[in-house]
Amino acid sequence: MRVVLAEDSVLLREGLVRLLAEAGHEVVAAVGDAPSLLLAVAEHTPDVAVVDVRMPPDHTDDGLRAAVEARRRQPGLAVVVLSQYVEASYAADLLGDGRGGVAYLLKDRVADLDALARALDAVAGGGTALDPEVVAQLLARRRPDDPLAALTPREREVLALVAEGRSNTAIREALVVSEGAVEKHVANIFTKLGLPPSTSDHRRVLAAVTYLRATST
Amino acid sequence: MSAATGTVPLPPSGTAAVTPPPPPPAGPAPGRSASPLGWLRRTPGDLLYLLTGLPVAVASAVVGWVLSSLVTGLASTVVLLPVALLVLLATLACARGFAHLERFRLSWTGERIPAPAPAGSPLTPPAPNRTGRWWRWWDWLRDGQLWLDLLHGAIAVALATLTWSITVTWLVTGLAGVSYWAWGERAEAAAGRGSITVAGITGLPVAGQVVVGVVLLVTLVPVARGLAFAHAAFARGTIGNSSVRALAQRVEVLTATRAAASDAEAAALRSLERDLHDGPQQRLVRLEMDLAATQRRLAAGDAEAATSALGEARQQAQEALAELRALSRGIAPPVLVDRGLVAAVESLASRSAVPAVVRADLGPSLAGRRLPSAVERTAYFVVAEALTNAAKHSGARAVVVDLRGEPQPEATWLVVRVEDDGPGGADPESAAGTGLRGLRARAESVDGALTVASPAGGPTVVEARLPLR
Repeated sequence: MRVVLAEDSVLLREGLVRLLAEAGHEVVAAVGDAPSLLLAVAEHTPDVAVVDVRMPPDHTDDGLRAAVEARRRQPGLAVVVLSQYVEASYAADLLGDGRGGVAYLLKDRVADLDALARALDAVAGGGTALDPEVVAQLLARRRPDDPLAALTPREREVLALVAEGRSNTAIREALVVSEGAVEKHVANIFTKLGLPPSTSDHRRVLAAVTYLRATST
Repeated sequence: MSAATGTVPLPPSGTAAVTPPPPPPAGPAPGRSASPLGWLRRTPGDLLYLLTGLPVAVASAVVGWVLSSLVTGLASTVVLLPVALLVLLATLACARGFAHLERFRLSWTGERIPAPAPAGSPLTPPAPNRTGRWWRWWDWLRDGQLWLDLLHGAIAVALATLTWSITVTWLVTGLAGVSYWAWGERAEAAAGRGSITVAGITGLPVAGQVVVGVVLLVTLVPVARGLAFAHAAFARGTIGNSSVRALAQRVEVLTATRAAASDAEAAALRSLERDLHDGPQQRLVRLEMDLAATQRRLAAGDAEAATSALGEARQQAQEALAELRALSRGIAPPVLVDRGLVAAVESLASRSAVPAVVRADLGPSLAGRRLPSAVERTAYFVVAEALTNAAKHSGARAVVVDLRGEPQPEATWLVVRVEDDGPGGADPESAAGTGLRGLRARAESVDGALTVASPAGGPTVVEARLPLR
């Protein structure tokens, strides 16, 4: 895959370039701030943009905003957003266009080559991968008449994994249960929450996350 | 502090946790209309004030004189000096009482005389070695305001005698004039022609007397206003809160809150240093050790041992990162800077160990607007500390966080309220309350206030009120 990388710390930029190369991807541009990211995406039309959230010029969520903007300008661009912190409200921005092809992960997670490769594969295939911490935040939000209360503990676990972007097979492996059991849990969750059933992975994630977001406001 | 008390007391004997910003310096008469009609509306109040003025002033002067004479008399005998001191304090207390009464009576006339704050305002408590009754009395004696109250009482009696006489004469003569037609003829018939005068004018026909009366009653309106104004001006200069004094108090408050805020900051930095030392620093040292071990094992050709040491090293690195993340959140949470208070508080609530619900209703004037960063930070840390305390100490099962905008005439206030359903009995003065005390200093440094209510049986409510200017 052709990758544009935006990361302001030189140390991490070099590390990520090395990791991406090791994973078999071609880094066509590595930049250090948000405006350069937009320019690089326009110039190289990459498959994936790997973006740090906090970057110059403002050192706030510039990278996130640039990633959203880049996806607006180049529909179909997949992004992997990395950050030292993950916040559910940032994930909401990324998922806002409802098109998938988004990963939002803590930087520590991609120190592992496999994890980085998995995230890149997921977004390139139009899937979605959210950091478990984001999902935990979404699940923790409550309101007085909490519909999540209707879920069994097992179903909450499954919902968390669905929101992270795991397939039924991956969920089966993570929870050590049968494929049929997973399918039943997922069907139950979608019924209990009034979500339309879906088999496409990223549709499932979007449904789950949209639901979780809706309950948090 | 007993568990049932409502507010956090300010050390050592403070009375108010809520310290509203001092009122603006007293200006001229408040904004009522200065038109003749406006004056007419104020006339009843003016007259009530002026007519009751003499009795009150005489009472005040008599009490003042008697007690002062007593003090002088007693003080001439050495052994009676302590008694003299007590009587002096009583004199001053009476003077203060009469000053209160005077301000209250002046409010009838529409004149607002802001009361000076008492000495030893809650924010500037006396030094710890200067507490106790005798020091309190000494502070009283040093309070210039009390002596001004006494002076006001002494001089007001002269002023009141003058204004009372003028008022009574004007009013009675005016009334006599307009009602002359009813009683004048009969009275003169009885007492002899020319023996009855109204306003010193004899021999006028009835109509003339009435006209004089009407003129007097009409002019009574500005006269009463002028006399009341004179009293108010005098009161403002003596028993009012002068702009200089108001400024002095403001400086006092600012000095105290600034000191408290910088103390709180220093304490926060110390605890940050401790956290860095105990957490990530130790982890990195351990990481270094693990890496060195890996190196040795690789040199010895023991790949299996090296792999396991590397696994441990990665574990340490992960933990160090997680701890650093938690620490940075405690210093300057990125989501607060990027997204503002509501998003940041929701993020806090979603991480809270005790399930927390956030209700944000900032109102039309604040919704969607970024608040001043000092206020945002204070509000954020109040919620963070309250949630931590709820999880650590309260045994609560649910927490509700309320963010509310409250428009007031002088400023809109942000009200942050965190209520848990624990058994209560939290004591902000105990060791566990250090964080809350720091937050109170923080709230006061932005002219806000923090209160903690935790009656036995619950609930515990932490509330911060922060003005937005």
